[in-house]
Amino acid sequence: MNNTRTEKIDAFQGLRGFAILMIALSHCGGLTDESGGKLFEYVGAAGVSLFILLSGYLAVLRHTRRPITDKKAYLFGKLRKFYPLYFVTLLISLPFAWRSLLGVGTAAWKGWANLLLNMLQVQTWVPKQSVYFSFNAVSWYLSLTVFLVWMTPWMVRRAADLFRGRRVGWGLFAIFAAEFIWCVLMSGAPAVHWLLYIAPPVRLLDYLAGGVYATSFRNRRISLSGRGRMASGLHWQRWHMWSSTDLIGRACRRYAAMPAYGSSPTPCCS
Amino acid sequence: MAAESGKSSLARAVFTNHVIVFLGNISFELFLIHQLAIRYTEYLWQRFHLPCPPLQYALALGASVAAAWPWQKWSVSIKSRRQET
Repeated sequence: MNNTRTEKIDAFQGLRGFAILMIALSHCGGLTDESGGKLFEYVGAAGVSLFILLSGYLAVLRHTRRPITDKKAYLFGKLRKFYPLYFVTLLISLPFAWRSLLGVGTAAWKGWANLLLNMLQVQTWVPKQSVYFSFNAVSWYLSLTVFLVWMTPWMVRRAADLFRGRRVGWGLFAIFAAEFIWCVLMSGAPAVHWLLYIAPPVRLLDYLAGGVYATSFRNRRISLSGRGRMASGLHWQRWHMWSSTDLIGRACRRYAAMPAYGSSPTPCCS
Repeated sequence: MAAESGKSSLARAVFTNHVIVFLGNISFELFLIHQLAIRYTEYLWQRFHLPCPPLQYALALGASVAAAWPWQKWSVSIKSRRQET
């Protein structure tokens, strides 16, 4: 592996490193400023957006070179990669839910139903905070990932047809316009947090945006082995990547500040 | 992206910083573990009435890294073994 290749991977890993740092700090709810406000409250949402964008970007880049031939095998391979740790963390989180699991009546049924949904990784599809943030709260993202992985072959195949040449700019504009309009329309709706932040079809737009960036990279026919050509392509995309992250971060902050979200009894777990 | 462009030495230094890259390498494991570590340390801090939340979070995130790193190494070795076979 030469230096160029290593540096390329390091740069992506560096972005991931920043994203996880933002997310972890946002969960440190006890770190407050003088007025009692949380120091890193909103950076976690931007970190999650960055994760999703980067995943879409890399999925299209990788599978352009190595097309997905067997969708089931692809999905199973991904599940095999992340399910063991997911399951272990689910077990570790059980002591926090022992009251509901060992209780009686409706609470116990709800607890066991939540556990089943978590084991099947479908908790993200239920628009209730007590469900999608149940047990290991951050695992909603893994539930979302299952859906995004399932959609990846479609995205890799269709994104190239939909966003050729100059259509890339329009495609990105359409995605962000759709997200913005959705934020405005749903701002007062019940389950607003789920509708704007958690819902897999909404998050698919972020994933697709990452894929469209990669498509623009591919459209320029820039070889991954050519450092100079690659550098020019990525430099061109740098502004787009950060501006979109910022845009999504702004949208997240917008609804994160809503009273309905802020007064939630469950701690924020982005 | 900026680091790859070769235009900004500051961005290159930041995004290819060893600590940040290390966190990126274990980001998946860290993501799943850190919230639980925070909850367990919160329980300990409340149980024993300990002061200083920054210390609690430092311990939680340190423990998360300590748990995430071996798991990541183990999963990489499993993957390479699968590829060999």
